[in-house]
Amino acid sequence: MNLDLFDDMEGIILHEREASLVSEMKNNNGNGSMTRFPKNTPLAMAYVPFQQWGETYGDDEALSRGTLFPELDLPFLKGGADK
Amino acid sequence: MNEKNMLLSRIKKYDFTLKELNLYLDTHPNCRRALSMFRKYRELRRDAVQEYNKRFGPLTPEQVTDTQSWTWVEDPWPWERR
Amino acid sequence: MWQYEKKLQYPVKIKTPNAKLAKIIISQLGGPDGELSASLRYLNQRYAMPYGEVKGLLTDIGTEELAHFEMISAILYQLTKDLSMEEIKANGFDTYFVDHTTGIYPVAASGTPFTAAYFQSKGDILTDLQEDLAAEQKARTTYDNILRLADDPDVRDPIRFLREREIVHYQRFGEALRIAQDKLDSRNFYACNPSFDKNCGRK
Repeated sequence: MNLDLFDDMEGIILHEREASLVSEMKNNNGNGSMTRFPKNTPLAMAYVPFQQWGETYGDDEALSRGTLFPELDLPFLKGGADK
Repeated sequence: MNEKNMLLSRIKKYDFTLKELNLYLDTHPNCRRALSMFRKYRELRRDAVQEYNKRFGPLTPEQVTDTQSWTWVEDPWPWERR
Repeated sequence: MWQYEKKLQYPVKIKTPNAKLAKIIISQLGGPDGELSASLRYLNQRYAMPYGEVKGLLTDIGTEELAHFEMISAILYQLTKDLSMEEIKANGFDTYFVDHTTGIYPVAASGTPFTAAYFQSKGDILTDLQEDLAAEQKARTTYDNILRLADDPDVRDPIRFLREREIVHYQRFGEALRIAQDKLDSRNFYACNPSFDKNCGRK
C-alpha cells in the first residue's frame, strides 16, 4: 500500500478539535470526532499527518510566533497570559 | 533601536523564515511553492548580510574585511545584554 | 562541518537577574530533555539513516538545537550576571555556585551533570525517529512547566519561542517517519532494518 505523501490525503482523517477541518476532508460521514484511516492501514505503527502547503505568516510574525505556519502555531495557555 | 540592531533584526527574520522553509523542504523536497519562497528570502538575506558586513562588521570570521584589525573578536558577543 | 554565526536565533534581553529561575531553566541546558540532549541525539542518529531526506532533517534540526543550546546559555548568563551573594544564598543557587561560580555548565535542575545516557541512537530508523518524536514532546512539556513557573515577560518570551520550535520539530519527525514507512514493505515494516540490512525496502 502506498500512502500518498503530498497532495492526496483522501481518507486520512485524524482526530481534530475543529469540526470544520474534518468537514473539508472527503469521505466524511459526519462523525467529526471519529478517527478514520484508509482501509488496511498497517497496525503497530505511528502516523503523523503530512503538512500540506497553506497559509504562511509574514516574516515579522513568523519569528515572533516561532513558526512560519499558522497551523503549527499551538501556544501554551496555562501559567499566565500568552505573551 | 539603533540602525545596527534594526538591520540585525531583519537578518534574524529572514534567517528564521529560511530555516522554517529548510525544514519543510527536507520532508517536502519537491514543493515548488516552498522552493520559490526560499529563493526569494535567500536573496533578501544575502543583501541584508552584505549591508551589515559593510557597515557594522562580520557575522562569521570569513566575513571580516577590515585590513587594520581582526574585528571578529570585538564585543559584544550574542549572549551579553547588548 | 559546522559554521557559527555571531547572533542569537531569537533575542534574549533579560533585565532582572533571578537565581531561582536559573536553577530551573538550567534543565533545558544539561537535563535529559534539554537542547544539548536533543542536538547530540539527532546529530548522532543521522549516520544510520538510509534516506537523504532524513539525513538532511536530522542534520538541520540537530544544528538548530545547538542554536537553542546557545539561547538557553544566554538566558542563564543574563539571569545570573551581577547576582549578589545574598541572592545566591537565598535561592539555593549556592550549590551550583560553589562548583561553577556563575559560569555555564550543563547540569539538570537536580544538579546531575549531562550524560549521553539521556539519549539513544539505536541504528534503526523506525526506532530512532520515534525516540525523536518523544524527545520533542518531553522538551515541550518541560517548557510548559517553565512557563508555569516564570512570570518575568523577558524570560517567557524566548521560552515561548523555544517551545514552539519543539512542536514544529515534532511535525517534521512525524513526516520523516511517514517517508520511511513509504519506502518499506507495509505488509511488515519490521521484517528487516533498512539502516543495516541489504534489500530492506518496498517490494
